[in-house]
Amino acid sequence: MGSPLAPDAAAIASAFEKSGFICPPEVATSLRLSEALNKPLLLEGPPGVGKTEIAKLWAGFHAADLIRLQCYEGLDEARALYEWSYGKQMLYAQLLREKVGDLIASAPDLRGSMAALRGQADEFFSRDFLLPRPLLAAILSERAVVLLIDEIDRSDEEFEAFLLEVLSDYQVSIPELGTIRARQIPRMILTSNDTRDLSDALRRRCLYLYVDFPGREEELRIVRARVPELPEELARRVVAFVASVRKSEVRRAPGVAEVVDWARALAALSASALDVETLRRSLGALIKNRDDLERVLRDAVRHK
Amino acid sequence: MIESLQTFIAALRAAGVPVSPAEAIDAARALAVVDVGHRDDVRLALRATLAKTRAGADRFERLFAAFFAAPKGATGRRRKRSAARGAGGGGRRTDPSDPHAGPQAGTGSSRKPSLIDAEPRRARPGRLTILAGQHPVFRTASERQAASSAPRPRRAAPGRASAAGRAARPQSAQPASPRRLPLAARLTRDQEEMLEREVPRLIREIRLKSSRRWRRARAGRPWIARVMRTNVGTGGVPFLIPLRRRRQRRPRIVLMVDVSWSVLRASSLFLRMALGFVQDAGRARVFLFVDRAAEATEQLAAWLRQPDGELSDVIRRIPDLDLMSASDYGRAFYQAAHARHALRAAARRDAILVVLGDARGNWSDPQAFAFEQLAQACRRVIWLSPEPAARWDTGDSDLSEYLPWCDVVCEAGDLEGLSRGIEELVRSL
Repeated sequence: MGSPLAPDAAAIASAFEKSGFICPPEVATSLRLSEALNKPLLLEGPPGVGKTEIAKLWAGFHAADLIRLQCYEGLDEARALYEWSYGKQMLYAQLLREKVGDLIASAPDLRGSMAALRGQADEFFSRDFLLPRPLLAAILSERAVVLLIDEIDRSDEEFEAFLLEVLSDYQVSIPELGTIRARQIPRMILTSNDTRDLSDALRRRCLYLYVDFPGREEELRIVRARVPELPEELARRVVAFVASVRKSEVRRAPGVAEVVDWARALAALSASALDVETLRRSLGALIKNRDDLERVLRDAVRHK
Repeated sequence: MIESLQTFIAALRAAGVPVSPAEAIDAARALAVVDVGHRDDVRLALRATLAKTRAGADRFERLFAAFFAAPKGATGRRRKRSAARGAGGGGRRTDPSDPHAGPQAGTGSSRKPSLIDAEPRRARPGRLTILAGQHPVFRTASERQAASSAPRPRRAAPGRASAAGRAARPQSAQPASPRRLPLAARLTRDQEEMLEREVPRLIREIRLKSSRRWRRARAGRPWIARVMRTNVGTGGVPFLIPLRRRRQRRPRIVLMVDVSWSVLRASSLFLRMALGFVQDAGRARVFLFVDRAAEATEQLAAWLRQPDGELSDVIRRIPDLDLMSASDYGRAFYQAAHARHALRAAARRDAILVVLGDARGNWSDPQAFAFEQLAQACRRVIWLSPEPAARWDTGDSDLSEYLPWCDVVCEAGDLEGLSRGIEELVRSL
C-alpha cells in the first residue's frame, strides 16, 4: 500500500518554489501520488522544460541522495546495474594463490581438486567483488534515494525491457547472487524527451506526466523568480519573444533553462530593451543552432 | 465512486486510451490519496494513473470534461450520453446554422468537448480514405495553415450550400449540374426531373467503368514465371504469353441504409443506383433503418425485376420499419449487432458493409461499440454521408463516433458523391 504520510501537494509546490522552481499543480500532485502509491513517475516532454530539475528538487525535498542513470544508445546491464570487479578478483586470486595451493595439495586427482575448490571459488563472486552501478546502488542503498533514469528514450528497447523488473518489483536478478530486493523502496523518476515511443509495458508501470513549455504568465513568473534583477517590462518582452520563437519554425524550440540563461545574459548586459543589436549580442544564450539563430534574427529585423 | 470510475475507464477505453486493470487499481488508490471533493485533484490523479501518452492525456482531458461536468440541469440521459460521446473518440462541433443542431447548438455552454483535434483512432487496418471535400477534421496541419492563409471564398448562395471542399471552386452563374444538386435541399419540380433523368446516365457510366475493369480483371495479367514452361515446345521462344487470372471473389454485400425523411431522397437514389451492381455481384443483403434495421432484400429485388410503383412506396411497406419514428443510429446498430439479427448474420469476414446515413441520432446514445462489432466482423466498411463534409460532426451528428471503424467515408450529398461511393463499392468487389 502507499504511504499514508505522502507530503501534501501544496507543501511540495511551496518547497520547490523556495528553490526558485515554479511548480505547477500537476507536477506537485504527480509527485505526491508517486510517493503515495510507490510508483515511478515518468516525465515526458520537450528538452529544457525542467524534468531533470524536478528530480533534483524531489531529492532535495526528501533530503535524499540523487542517483542518476543517464541513458544513451547502447546502455546495457553492465553499465546500469552492476559489474564484477575483475581487477579486484585477479588481485585476490594472486594474493591467495598459496592458500589455494594448500587447499588442493591433499587432493589425489583433478576431480578431487575441483571438489576442494567448489564453494571456495564462489567467494570471488560475492558482493565484495560487485561494482554496483546506479540501479543496484539505488536498490542497495540504506539511505533514502531518488533514482533518476534520465532520457530513457535514448536507451535501446532491450534496456527498457530490462528495467521492467526494477520498476515494478524494485528488485534485480543477478545470476551469481540471485534476486536482490530493495532495502527501502527508492523514489524513481524517469524522464523522456519523447524522441521515440516508449513501450506500453514501461508506461503501465509508471505514473505519467507530460511536462510542456509553461504558459506565458507562468514563464514570466519563472523568469522573475530566477532573474529578479531583470526589469519586469523587459522580462515580459523576453517571454513574449520566446513564445513567438517557439511558434516559428525553428528546429529546436528553446527550453525554460535557456530562457533563464538569456534573461541572465540580458541582465548582465544591462539591456533595457530588446532591440536588434541586443538580440545579436545575446541570442546565443537562447538559440543553440546556427540556422535557427539566423532565422530568428532575420524575423526580428523584418518585424522591427 | 468506484462505479463512476469503472464507467469512466470504460469510456476511456472506448475512446482509444488503453487502460489496464493494474492502472485501474492505481487510479482507485490515487483517489484514496487526493481530496475527491476537489475536481482538479481528481483530474490530476486520474490523468497521472490512466493516461500514459500525450495523445492519451489529451483525450483524457476532453473526456474528463465531458464526464464530470455535464451541463447544469442536464438529465441523467444527457449526462450519460455526453460521456459516451467522448468515449467514442469523437466529439462534435456546433454549427449555429445547422438546422439539425439540437436545442443547445450555437451557445457557448453547449459546446461539447471535442476530440476531433486528436488523431482519429484507426481501429481498422490501413488508412481511412475520405472521398470528400476538405473536411477540417481531417486536414493535416499544413493544409489547415494553408487554408487559414488562403483568401476566404465567397459565401455560397442559400440553397446551394455546397460541401466545404467545393467552397474554393469559383461560383458559376450557370444553372447547377444535376449531378451537383444538393440532395438535402428543397428542389424545384424541374430539378427533381433533372435528377430523375440523370440517374440512368450515371448508372450506365458506372457500369461502363466497372465492366472495363472487370474485363481487364477477367483477362488476367502476364504470368512471366510460366512463360518458359508454356513455350517448351518452341525451345523457350515466347510465342505464347500465359495470363494469370485473379481468383474471383464473390463477397457478400450488406447495405444498411437510413431511410429517415432527412436523407430519404439520397437513400432512394442510392438504392436505385447501387442495387443493380450489387445484384450483379450476388449475395447482397439490404437493410433499411430509421431507429431499427429491417431487411428489405426480397422486396427491393422484386421491385428491381419489375418496377411497380415508386420505390418510396416499397420502402413504406417494409415490415418492422417505422418511417415516422425519430432516427436513432445507436439503437439501430445495437439491435443489428445482436447475434440473432439477420444483419449480424450477414456481416461475415468476406462481407462489405456499406452504410448510408448522416449519423444524426437525435442526441441519442451513438452506441459506437455496436457499430464496431458489426464493422469488425466485415472485410470492409464504406460509409456514405449524404451531408456536405462541412456539416459532419456538427449538431447531433455522431459521424466521428463511427468513422474509426470505417475504411472509406464518402461525401454523398449529390449524385456525383453517390456515384463516387458506388464506384468505391464496385472497386471493392
